Amino acid sequence: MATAEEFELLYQASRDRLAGQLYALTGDEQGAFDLVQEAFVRTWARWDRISSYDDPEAFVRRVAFNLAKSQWRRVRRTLLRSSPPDAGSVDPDPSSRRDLVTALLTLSTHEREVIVLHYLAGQTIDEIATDLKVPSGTVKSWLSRGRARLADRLAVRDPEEMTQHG
Amino acid sequence: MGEGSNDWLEERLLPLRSAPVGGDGGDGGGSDGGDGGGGGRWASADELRARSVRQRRRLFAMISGGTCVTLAVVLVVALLLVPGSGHAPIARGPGSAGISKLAGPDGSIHLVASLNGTARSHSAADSSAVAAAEQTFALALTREEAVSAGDGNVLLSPLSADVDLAMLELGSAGATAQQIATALQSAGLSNSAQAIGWGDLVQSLTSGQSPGELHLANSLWIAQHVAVEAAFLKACASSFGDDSYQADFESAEATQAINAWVDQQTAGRIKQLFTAGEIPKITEIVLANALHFHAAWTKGLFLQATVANEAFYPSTGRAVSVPMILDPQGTFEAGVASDYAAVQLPYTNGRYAALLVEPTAGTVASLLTSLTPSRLSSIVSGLKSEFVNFSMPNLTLSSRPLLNAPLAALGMGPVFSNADFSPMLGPVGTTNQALALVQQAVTLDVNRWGTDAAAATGSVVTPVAAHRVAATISFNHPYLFLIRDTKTGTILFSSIVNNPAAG
Repeated sequence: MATAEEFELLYQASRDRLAGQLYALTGDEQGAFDLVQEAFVRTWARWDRISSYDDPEAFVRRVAFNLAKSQWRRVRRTLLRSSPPDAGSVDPDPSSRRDLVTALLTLSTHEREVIVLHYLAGQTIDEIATDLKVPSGTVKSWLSRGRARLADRLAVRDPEEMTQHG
Repeated sequence: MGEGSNDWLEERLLPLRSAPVGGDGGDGGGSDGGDGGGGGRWASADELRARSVRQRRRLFAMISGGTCVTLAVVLVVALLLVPGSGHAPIARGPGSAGISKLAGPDGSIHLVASLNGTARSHSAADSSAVAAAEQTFALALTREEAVSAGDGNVLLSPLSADVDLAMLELGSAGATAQQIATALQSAGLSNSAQAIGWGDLVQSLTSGQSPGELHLANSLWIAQHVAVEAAFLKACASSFGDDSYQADFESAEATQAINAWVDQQTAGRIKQLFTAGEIPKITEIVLANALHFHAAWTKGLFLQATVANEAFYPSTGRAVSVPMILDPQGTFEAGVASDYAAVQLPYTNGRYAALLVEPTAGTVASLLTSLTPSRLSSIVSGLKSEFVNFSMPNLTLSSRPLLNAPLAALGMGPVFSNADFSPMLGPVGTTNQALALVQQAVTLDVNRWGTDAAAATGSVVTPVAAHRVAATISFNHPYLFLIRDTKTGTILFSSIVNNPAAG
């Protein structure tokens, strides 16, 4: 049954997780909070239907990601002004969120999105392919290229790449 | 790829598994009751729900095409659109079969039973048969109403009338039941098939893709001295989800209460189903239906459209200047045949669509004569995505048709003089009963943002005695306007627009 209590439970349980994913996607801290909250605002308008979904959080995430992408150019311009994603300026300290996000911002939108969905949201390649309406092979390709670029930016030897290339 | 738990990238991304806190490094989320996001703080869930309501209100104001909407109406609409808000005078929910009272200000009217959601069996075949009958009835009723309307506009809700009369049919027997079934084009359906079919169809129509798109409600208003058969109440509630009220028809407050119920169920669109004195004092029962359809056009439709005064050519008389929605280079589901031009305009989520059909030879009345559900289906299936130089009027129509004459023409004539309502009213209903009037009130507002349409029907039972850029499709001549369910074909609203300036 669609209730305000269930909505509140989902909100409490998933908002931090989603904000982390949105931050990774957009690089905009405040924007991540705003996008997650706006996605929940829109979800409530359809809550009597969404609440019956197997994974309502996935719906909220999709709404938030779509909102993020629709604002992308503006967000990207802001970020480029504030912290240019230059490989040479990346602090390799793995505990630094901003550096991670800065490294992510050097990827293409597709590469970044599939990395966030796969490694942070825990979606399988097939689920991402369904979600983005592209073939699984395309998702694999974006993921692979994104990993390689991130390894380069973060000065990590990607074991997968070592395996592939000997 | 990357599936292993020890993947270097997964480990590197660990710090991003929780919300940022407004600066470099650090973990953890925010706290509730903040300022809506400032400084990494979370708004409360209550605040998000309130924002959702405010967004809906803005959408409503946009669709209504103006800013002069009263706060009261906005609040009613918001209540209708927000999941979890009740539509009914008292809270109700599936399976609530108790006896309850409505605390009215005058004390003369109260809720005696709310029997929504009684368990019943399901049959897709039954609901398809009911939907098919509804389409035939809808076209026949529109045709009959056109006869009495002459050159004026026709505006009906076939669905509202059908649901209302299907309830009446449940409460009738013998020849009366047959006559109502004939009019409703449902003579081939058994009572049980109809009951199940209507229950499923109503449920399907109101639980579509977009909550709030279509709201439908029914109620029974029973004179204090009348004992309604329990089996009828139960059957009616099972299929139609009625609320039942006791009413003192000797008092003007009964009419006021029915109108208030209609007002509430239609989000303020219909203030008056019955005028003062229209319901006879000797009335035994009024069966009422109300519905409200409120939907935006599908995303992108009329994005580039403008609105400007253009000529519309009524079937008789001079051209009139009316506000027209102009979309000279839009893509539409359109079709042009030798005798008509048709365009289908889908609403958000695609479940419902408006179908406009303008005869290019002959009149709307002659087009209607040959229009059957199967021809309607072939018109729709013949539509293709085309670039069209499109225009149609901004419509704001309202009507209050008395349906006695068209229903009599469809076979219900005897019901208006002598009827058997014994399944509803018990032995007293076997003789000396009649259907006094079937009154409908309808509003239709079509603009570049979407459509808002509402209808209410009341049946009053008394004792006797008492492409390529090639096509230009301009709906600037009289045309047929239908709001249809694209899944079942059910016709919610029908209109013959003879003169948009007539209002």
